[in-house]
Amino acid sequence: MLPRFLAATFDLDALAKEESTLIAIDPSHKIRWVNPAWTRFALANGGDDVVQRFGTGSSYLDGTSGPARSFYEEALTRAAKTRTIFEHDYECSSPETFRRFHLRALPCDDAGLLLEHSLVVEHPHDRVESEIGHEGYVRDNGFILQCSNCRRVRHKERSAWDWVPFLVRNVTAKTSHGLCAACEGFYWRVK
Amino acid sequence: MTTYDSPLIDGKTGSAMRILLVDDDAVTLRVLSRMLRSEGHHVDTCEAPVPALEMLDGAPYEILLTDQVMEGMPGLELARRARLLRVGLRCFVVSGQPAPPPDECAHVTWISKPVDIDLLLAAIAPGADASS
Repeated sequence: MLPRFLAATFDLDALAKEESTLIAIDPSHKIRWVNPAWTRFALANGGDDVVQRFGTGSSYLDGTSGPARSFYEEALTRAAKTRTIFEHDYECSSPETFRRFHLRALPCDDAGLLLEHSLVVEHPHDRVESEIGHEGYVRDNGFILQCSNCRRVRHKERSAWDWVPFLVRNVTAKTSHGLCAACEGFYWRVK
Repeated sequence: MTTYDSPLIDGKTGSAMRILLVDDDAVTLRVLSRMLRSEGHHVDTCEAPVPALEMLDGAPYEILLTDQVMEGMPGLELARRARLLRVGLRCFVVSGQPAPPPDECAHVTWISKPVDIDLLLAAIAPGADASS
């Protein structure tokens, strides 16, 4: 059933036809409505399980973890309370495909929000595994350092944080998890 | 590098807890210690498990918060040895690795990285875990 706050603000027929994934949440961040594009995306990226776990009735925040959860909780609460638009670009890649999305949170009546997720970039990772090699990421002590948030791994000599599909897909027993500087600064900044 | 938050004293200091934080990642140490201190806890840090055991042997820590994958000794083993040194020590392993079977980690509370600070604070609150 469509939440009243959504119907009072938007043309629902238009929302249903929109190809961006749309989610309406109430002030407690519970998902109250999703559009068909969201369901299609969910089925293509995890199937029925994703639809069940993150569909209508679940908390939108359950799709996030760690510091990202607190980040979104604060941002969405602030957007709803102040009735200001919140926008944010984020990466949501798989081991095979790089993806960047743009989130726009639009305030509705009764402190609800319409969340619009638009695909900005999608392409296979630029470098194939055979070109990268994994040995450059294994430290002298045999350990691999991976950012626990963005899942990039740190090169042992260049000190760069790289996206290495193989090491994202295969977390070894010697993968140690830390935080890259970008994730520390963005998600763990001092409030 | 080892850091001490405050002079080591016996006894509790109100609701603040004395925590030893062990992680071989300096950034994680910095982030977690900052968050825990902002909540009023006394936090000492150590980047390796063997020196951490020496610290545990010499000070009245109430909580051990340790990484799992570290050179020298995994966090689960550090927690096991730590509890022999200090009976009743509450131990938490913070890791990006999947949690092992329950019979292998019954002496600790397993917390996933990246850490949600609110969940961590709730977990370490007195009486919130079953590892003590």
